[in-house]
Amino acid sequence: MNHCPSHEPTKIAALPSAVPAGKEYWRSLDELSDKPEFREWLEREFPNQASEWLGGTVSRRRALQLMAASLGLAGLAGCRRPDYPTLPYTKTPETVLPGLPTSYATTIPRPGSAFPVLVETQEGRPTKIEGNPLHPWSQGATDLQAQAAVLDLYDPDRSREVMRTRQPSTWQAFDAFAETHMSGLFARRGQGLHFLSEDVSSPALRLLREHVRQVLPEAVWHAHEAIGSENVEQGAVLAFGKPLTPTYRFQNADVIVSLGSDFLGVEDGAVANTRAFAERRKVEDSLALMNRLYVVENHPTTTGGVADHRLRLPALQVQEYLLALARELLLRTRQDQGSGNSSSQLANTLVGVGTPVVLPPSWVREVATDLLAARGRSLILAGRQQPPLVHALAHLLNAELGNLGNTVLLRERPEARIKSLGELTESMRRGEVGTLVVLGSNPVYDAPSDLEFGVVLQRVPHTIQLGLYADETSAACAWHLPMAHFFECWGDAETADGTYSPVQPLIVPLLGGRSALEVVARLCRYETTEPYEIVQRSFRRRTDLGTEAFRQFLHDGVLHDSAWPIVNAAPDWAALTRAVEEVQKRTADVGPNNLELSFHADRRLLDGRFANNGWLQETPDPLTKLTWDNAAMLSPATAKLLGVHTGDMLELTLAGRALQAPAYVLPGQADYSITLPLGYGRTHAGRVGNGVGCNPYKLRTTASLNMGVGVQLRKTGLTYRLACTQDHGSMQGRDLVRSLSLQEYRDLPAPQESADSHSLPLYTSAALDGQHQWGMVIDLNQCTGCSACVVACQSENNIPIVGKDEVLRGREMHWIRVDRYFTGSANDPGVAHQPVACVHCENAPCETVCPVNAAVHSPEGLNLQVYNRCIGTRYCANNCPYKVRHFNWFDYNQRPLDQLLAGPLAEKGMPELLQMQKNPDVTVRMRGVMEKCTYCVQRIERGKTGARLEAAGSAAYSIPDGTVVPACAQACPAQAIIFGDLSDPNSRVAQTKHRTRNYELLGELGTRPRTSYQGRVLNPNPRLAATEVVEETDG
Amino acid sequence: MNLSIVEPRLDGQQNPHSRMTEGLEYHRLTEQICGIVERPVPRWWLPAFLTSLAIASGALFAATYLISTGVGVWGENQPVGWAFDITNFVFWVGIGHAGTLISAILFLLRQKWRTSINRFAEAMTLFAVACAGVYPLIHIGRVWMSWFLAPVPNANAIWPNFRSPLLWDVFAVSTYATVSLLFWYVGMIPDLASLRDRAVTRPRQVIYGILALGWRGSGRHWHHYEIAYLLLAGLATPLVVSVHTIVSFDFATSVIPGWHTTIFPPYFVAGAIFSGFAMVITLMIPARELYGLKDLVTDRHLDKMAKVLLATSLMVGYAYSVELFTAWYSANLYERFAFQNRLFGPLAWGYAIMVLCNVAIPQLLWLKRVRESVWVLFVISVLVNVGMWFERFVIIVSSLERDFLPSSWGRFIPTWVDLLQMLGVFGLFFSLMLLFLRFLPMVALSEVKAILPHPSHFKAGHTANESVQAVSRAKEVQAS
Repeated sequence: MNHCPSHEPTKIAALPSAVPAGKEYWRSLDELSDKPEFREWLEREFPNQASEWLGGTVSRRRALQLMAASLGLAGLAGCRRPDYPTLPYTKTPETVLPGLPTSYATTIPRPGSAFPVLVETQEGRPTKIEGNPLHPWSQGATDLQAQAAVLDLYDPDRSREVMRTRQPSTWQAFDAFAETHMSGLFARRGQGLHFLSEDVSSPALRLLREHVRQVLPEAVWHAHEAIGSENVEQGAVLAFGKPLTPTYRFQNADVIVSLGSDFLGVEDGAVANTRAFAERRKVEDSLALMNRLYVVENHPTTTGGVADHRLRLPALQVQEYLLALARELLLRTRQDQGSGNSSSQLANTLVGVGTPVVLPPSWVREVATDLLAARGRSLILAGRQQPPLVHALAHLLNAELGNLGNTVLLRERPEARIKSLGELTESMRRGEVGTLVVLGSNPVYDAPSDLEFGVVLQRVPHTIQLGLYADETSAACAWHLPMAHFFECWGDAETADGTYSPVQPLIVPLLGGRSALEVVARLCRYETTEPYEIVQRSFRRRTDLGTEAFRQFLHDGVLHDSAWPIVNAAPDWAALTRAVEEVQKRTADVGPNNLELSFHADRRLLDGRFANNGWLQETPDPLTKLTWDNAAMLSPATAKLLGVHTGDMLELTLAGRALQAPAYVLPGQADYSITLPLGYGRTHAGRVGNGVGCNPYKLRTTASLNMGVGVQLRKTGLTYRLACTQDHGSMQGRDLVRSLSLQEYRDLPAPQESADSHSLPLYTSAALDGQHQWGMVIDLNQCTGCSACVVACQSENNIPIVGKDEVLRGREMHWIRVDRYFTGSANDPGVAHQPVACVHCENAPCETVCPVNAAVHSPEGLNLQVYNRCIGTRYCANNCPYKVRHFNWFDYNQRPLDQLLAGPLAEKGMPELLQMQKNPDVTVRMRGVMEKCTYCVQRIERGKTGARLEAAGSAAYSIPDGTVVPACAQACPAQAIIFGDLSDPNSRVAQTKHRTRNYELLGELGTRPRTSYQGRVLNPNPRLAATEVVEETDG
Repeated sequence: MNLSIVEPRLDGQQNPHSRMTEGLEYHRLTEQICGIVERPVPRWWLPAFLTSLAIASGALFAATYLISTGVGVWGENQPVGWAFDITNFVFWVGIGHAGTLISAILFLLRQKWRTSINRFAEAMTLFAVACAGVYPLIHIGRVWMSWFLAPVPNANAIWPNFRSPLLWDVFAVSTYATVSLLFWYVGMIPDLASLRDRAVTRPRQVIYGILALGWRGSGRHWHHYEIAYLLLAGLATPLVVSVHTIVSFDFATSVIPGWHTTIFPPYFVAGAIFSGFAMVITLMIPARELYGLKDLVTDRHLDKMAKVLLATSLMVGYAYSVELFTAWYSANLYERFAFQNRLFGPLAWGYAIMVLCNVAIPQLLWLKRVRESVWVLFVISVLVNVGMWFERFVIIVSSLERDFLPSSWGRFIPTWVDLLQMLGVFGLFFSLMLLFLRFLPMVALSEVKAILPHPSHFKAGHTANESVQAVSRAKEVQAS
């Protein structure tokens, strides 16, 4: 894979930009060959023979040569090169080798942020997404949403045509309408014109916004995100007086206290956070390196799962805990520093406030002790759900502990906040909005229900919505315009810390959409409506750099060191003291008669934007292992109290609004706190996402945006089938996930070369005499269970989705799964994640039992599955102790999900768009064959081919360690998966296998797996651990 | 247990076995057995056959749906890759054991009482093996590629995997089917000749003529026939043991707790004989009622079969308890759990049915009264069949449902296609059985006659063939 400079601007510049077909790709050679550029190019390319072609006296030989060359490349019709008129490769560009993928750097816009990626394209067809190794927010890794984004690009349900009052229309019709309509608005200086965009952090869009402010001064711009960072911002305002953006340096933190922050899960920047956090869990490098994580939260999160100590509290009481912690800390620092400063005033106030909730005293005392011992090396952070006061107090404590500048960096955003959805709804209600342009946002679905956005939207005379899908909002708007996917258009973006990166197209809009930039530029008559131009202007404006730097910017996918400046800020103690005094008027406590309901971003669909993505729908939630649904999560104790079981249909009523949701009894959930993941219950998502799960936005109001108390819960008496991929959470006393405390690990004896006495195989194994011996290590101490590997594997290996019914039957196809086990008590368990794919046993039980030799071993130690030899007896799957083999029960690739059982007369065939996503290096399996993890054999072979070519014919070649990276390992944000050549004693994987905490899963069976695991090492606070046991027995 | 009753006495007059067929005479016997084939069908036959055929067509429909759509139409999943398919396969192969056991082993052991039932039991065996063969064929994902199982030379030089018990299965079952068929057919030749000789219509003469392979009943024929039959019996005997031993290897050689058990070969063979005899009883009791064969298949026959049933029930019961003991004694976590799960897990009800039907209820057969009351015996035999089906189901499914990693535990729930396939194959079995009853002699005439008392005189209408046969037979027996 070569990471090559994309879109050489010189080449683009060489082509006349006046060509109207800028957004269209040619479909026939005739069309193309008639263009003057072609003639011109032809003359350049073949100055001697051009006359033959142009003059009409083409020799047969010449004509055939030309035709063959042209058709051969035209045959790659999928091979729409990105942007601008492209010509067939009669001369292959230097960077393109047919059959070898090319990677382009681009960026996925995210709410208030972005995610930098490299997109692997196969002859112009984006097929796979990897993280951008040059960008600090990725460092080569991705999360599962980034992995799945490529499927959205090829979603056949994406909006294809312009709709006017739900009737098909055209872009021309819209342009004509816009021309006249905007003329009127220009005349009124934009009076009554409102824009509603997503909270995209794009300098190019900022440029356009400035333009709008100039030419249409009366127009108002609003931004809306269902899961926004208002609390973070307001918290910063409360603490520092201005909306500073905190970014964290987990690599510097010895002690971390997370207050409902899922910084390793759904919070923005989780990939970078995970990398930095995981760096501090590498006990081999140094025992002192190990950090300690305390998590206080109401529902189990990815972060909570890896915590050394986790305190379950209703989301509303997290604040109480922080107040208690702050009191303890400030009182103690006052003792140290003497009294009289502003902190003691706050401390006094905090003493006055008291704590109405019974908190485990040791949790306050010991955490404070730990934090004080790690001044400047500790970190307190709060989740987006938590109210501004929690964020402000966290800032304050960080300041008090000397963490600002060490573990917490504060950055200043360039643009003031734009107006919110609430303000827009107010204007709409007052009838001030004449024209509303919605850019990508879907407020009819995800706005707080008390705004009644869908109702007030009807009062707006002119509504225009640009959307990737004909969604809930499109249905309520007069105009719906198909939006180009971010892999189809030019743009730019900034991550939440301000690091600047480009959005560049990888393919011409497949379904004829336009980007938000283009739509706004056209509507508001910007000097250029060409997004590429806009982006270049925006780049020059933001950076003052030239074309060469722009090229580099596109190549790298990031402008290095472009994050917003770090500012020093001192907390405003007085304001905080006032805010804390306010707290005394707090609401009733959470309890059995006053249940709490909290909303959080679904770990897969986030706010619901990915609802039509089958990969994400089918990815099991890391904690609940639920697919294709959300559910109201209750703790076992609360469920028992209410007489509720998993699968009972509940009716939740909050402030007069009711919603039916299935119950899921989840160990680790806080008592009396019910959590509903957002993002489900879509009605206009598409064929995949429609009607999946329930819609918690119906209960969500501006008052209870993140949490609310007093939810009424009623059993409807109905039951609902929840498709879980793992029903058993206990390890049954088996040592599957091994874990140790840091102390135990320190005392661990060195590994003995065990005689492995009972491992006498019945048969002589296949000769393992290949030049390479592939192996893998999965470090359970690094793994957070985030499941990015699952989607990465699905994307790389053409793994089909099977649908909810099939998951219910236990037929999900994921080659790698993340097993989740609970340890300890049912109410307050520890969580352990274990990714399991084929472990490539040297003595593989599957191989001996296959009657047709379809499961065989390679000399390099790969356990191979030969699809065209397999007849599907399923014996191998039965005999696999790891249960990692997956059978194609139906033709999942050929039958739509609702046609699986429809017999021989079912409609068959894969939509052409979806075919384009498939990785050409991996067979698409038919029904009746078994499949499983191959260690990404196609990547191994590619690596070998490259190495052989480099060795240039010499028989001895070597593959440098780290050249071959399977999709799972590449995606892993924690770098928990290490792959390599075991025959090379210096390879990372071989080195890692010598560690004391290396073990083989079910190794006692004598399977001799090539994948081994590294046991977990937890770093509990001994004093807290001791008291926890006491408190548990007391309680 | 009074299995090896006495050393056979060779002079027919005092042959103790003749007591079992007291009052029978050659002519009446011939009339009775050949008459079934020659007379118009009894009134119940056609409705019974059509019903069976209708049910069998369900199997055809289910299999067509399965093959055209995918194995997913069954309830199998990950981790339960085999369920009804292999359960039914093992069930039918097990039933197929009684025939060869009765024919071959009891023949070699000179258990002459077998003669009244062996033909019937052999036919049942063949049909059961045919029914069993349906499942391995259709259960695979790509039926059209099933020829990969055959060791045919091909361009890629890929052979089947000779380490795979499934391949051993292919050989074991196909060998067993072939030998059983030969054994059954060879044994039937003299009787087919009788039918030929008695045939009055041209088609019957031709068809039975062809099937009788020119049998004339000469001493030479009889001589060769006896040798061939003896050899085939000798050949079939190890197969009785080998087939189910190899079927059990499917499980025993795997690593799955609950499957990986060294006791499986004898356990499966005992179970197979158990279920086979149960099926013979289940079918024989109504058949002898319907065709009035009570003097041929006497209560004493049933009594003996009941005793075999009791003996094998005890063996099976022993195997069950040894399994549990081994699991406990091994102190192996997974092994212990597998049996704990079998006893108390989600399929505990299946295990309870299995123990009840296979071990508890057959104990009633200790009572002579129970063995003598035909319909009680019938009910017990049906229950044994149910119990043996559940034995296979419990072994296969409960072990797969919960193996090593609790994360991948699952459940198996059959679909309507599973059930229709199973029911339909029963329909196929009964259809074949009814065809057999209609068109072939259901009792081995020549063999029964050999143990009849010598006729005091030849009666008119008795064919020469039969008298010569009886005389020559007696001579030969004495000579040997």
